[in-house]
Amino acid sequence: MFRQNRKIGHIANNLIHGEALLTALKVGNRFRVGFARKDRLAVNFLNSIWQQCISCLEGEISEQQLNTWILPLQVEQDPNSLKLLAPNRFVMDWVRKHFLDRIRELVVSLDDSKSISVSLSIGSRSRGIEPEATVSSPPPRAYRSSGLNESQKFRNFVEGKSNQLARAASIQISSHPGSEYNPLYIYGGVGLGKTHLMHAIGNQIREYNPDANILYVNCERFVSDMVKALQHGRMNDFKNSYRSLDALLIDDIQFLADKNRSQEEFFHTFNSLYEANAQMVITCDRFPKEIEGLEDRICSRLGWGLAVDIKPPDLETRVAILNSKAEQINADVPDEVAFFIAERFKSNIRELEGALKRVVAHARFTGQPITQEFARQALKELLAVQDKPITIDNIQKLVAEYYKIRVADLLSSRRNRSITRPRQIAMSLAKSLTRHSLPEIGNAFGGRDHTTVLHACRKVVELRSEDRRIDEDVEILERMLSN
Amino acid sequence: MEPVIRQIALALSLDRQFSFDNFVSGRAELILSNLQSLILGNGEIQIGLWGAASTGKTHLLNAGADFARANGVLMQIYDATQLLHCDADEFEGFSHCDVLAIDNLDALAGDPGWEACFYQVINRCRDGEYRFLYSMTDRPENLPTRLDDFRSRLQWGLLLQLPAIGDGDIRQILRKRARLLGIELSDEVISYLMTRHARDLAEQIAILRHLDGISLRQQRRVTIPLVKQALRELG
Repeated sequence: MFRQNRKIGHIANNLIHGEALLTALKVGNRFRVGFARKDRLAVNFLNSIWQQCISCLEGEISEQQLNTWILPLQVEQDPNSLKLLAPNRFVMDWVRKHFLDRIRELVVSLDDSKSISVSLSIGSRSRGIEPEATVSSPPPRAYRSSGLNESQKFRNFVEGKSNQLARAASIQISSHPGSEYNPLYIYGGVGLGKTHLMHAIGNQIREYNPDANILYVNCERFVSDMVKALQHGRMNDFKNSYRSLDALLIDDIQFLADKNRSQEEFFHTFNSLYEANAQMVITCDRFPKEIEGLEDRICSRLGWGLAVDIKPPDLETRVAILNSKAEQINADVPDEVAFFIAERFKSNIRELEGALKRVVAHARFTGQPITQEFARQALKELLAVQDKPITIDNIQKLVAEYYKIRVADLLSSRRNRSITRPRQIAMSLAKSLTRHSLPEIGNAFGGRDHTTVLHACRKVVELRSEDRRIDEDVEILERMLSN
Repeated sequence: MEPVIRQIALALSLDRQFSFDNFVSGRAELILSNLQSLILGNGEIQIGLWGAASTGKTHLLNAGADFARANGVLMQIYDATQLLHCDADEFEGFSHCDVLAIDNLDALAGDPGWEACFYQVINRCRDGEYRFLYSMTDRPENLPTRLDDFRSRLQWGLLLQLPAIGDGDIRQILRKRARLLGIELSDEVISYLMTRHARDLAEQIAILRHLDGISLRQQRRVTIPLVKQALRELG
């Protein structure tokens, strides 16, 4: 206590003079409330020491080092010592190893009293608060808010053939949550609007019932919330928080794969919500049974309600999406320009939105109207990459990567199915996406005969009609190659 | 023997290495206006810069940090090549900032743990927790990513390509940076530097800084003989 009071005294002496303060400081922490002003002054002094420290370091280390390791450190509002907060363990470890000793030296040299101790830990200071109130870490998000993005509603979700069923089912469950289609399972490739639909469901349920307890959470977040709850001994809070919901919307459930403890918790959460007739909406990039590393009991539960897929949007839908996005950002994009962009960016809506942003940014910057020629210029680098011809090499590389095999396997004489299927698909893609002849393609695949290529093309057509998974694989590969 | 007294240059420089003011590019204005808006929170929430080596990606991100600091904006900046030395879990907590910037993000492509981490980083950016700025050598489509969810999220924001820097740009940058150091570089000296040494901007800047030190120590103007001496010293 004595040391602490001496320290406060030293700090305060540096700031203000006057008997009253010094007397008060000698009394100690028992009258802490009465010290608010003095504490604040002490905190200000420590902040100024830290700023001087930064100035000294500026002359000693590179700007890059300063930006990465020093400037993100925050000073905790503690009047007794200089407590530095690093945003994460990565920064903390680095600073401790490379800079902390020097910081301590600088603090000693800047402080006449030589009594300020320096510590470093992980944390963050809330901004805009009184110095006395410090927050070391925010509570997990699940306990804070619904996570719903209020701007994503049904009215700005563009309907097309590719998402018609998913949209209709979503509207249906929004008006009768928990009663039918529970869970609603929406699956499809990346950037096709699954998350938008999910937020729209949550927002619609809330519109009908403002008191509904809804939570939108990304699966990764669910896992990290659970890990934090385990670490801090708050599992009961976690369980209560999730199991008392009226609607739980979990995005990208595929990230639950191979996480056994999280699957266990999700399983119980699911059961509890299901029994309570709480609505669950789950999205994924594939059909439940196809998620590797997910327990069977969870896979089967995901299929209890309704599973609907979203496919990549067709041209008209892409144009409508562009128009809707343009309206949201108050940009005047003529139809011909929307068609121009939509015809060229097909793989997903994020890419489409990125292209629109680029055109609009250029237009706003130059003050020019958006015409087709203007859009072509603004997008020219993106289009140049797209216009690159598809080669057999590219196809082989992509297919090998996709199926996690080596290109050498595709060219080898190996005949086990894990190799022949990708090889047949690669040959079929080479036939449909390049201008090479069958003998040329056969040659490029380890010197095979043209009849082998022909057989592969026919086999892929057959497989696509029989096996939805293969059909999807080929569709994805085609899209990746075309883009 | 009398000790030789040499004047030592103080480690103080008027030339901030990374600043928006000394960024030279055919598209500087477009790029800078968008970056400034992002940092100040009145523009895009996600911007990706891509371009080959020596196009100014690291410069812009660090200049952004300088701009953020001057405007009271809390910005964290990381080099992804350094992040690779740690576990993605250690990176938790990055969100306590206004702007998160990652240089060389493509270094993380292909690492499932880091891709999942940055997939989440972008989700949280879209939730409004912070703004996200990153640099890469290529477009997201061409990165060897394993996670489609990560790649597609990189395509989401505004992507700006940094054009390759030509000889004219390097000349302009050298002259500008030299002025900030208080040196007037003649065309002759610049031409000498460009023809006798690699036309790599980073190397040229390093030579310039070395020249500045020698010039201060020896109280000499920057002339070709001094440049020759600097190049000799640098080996």
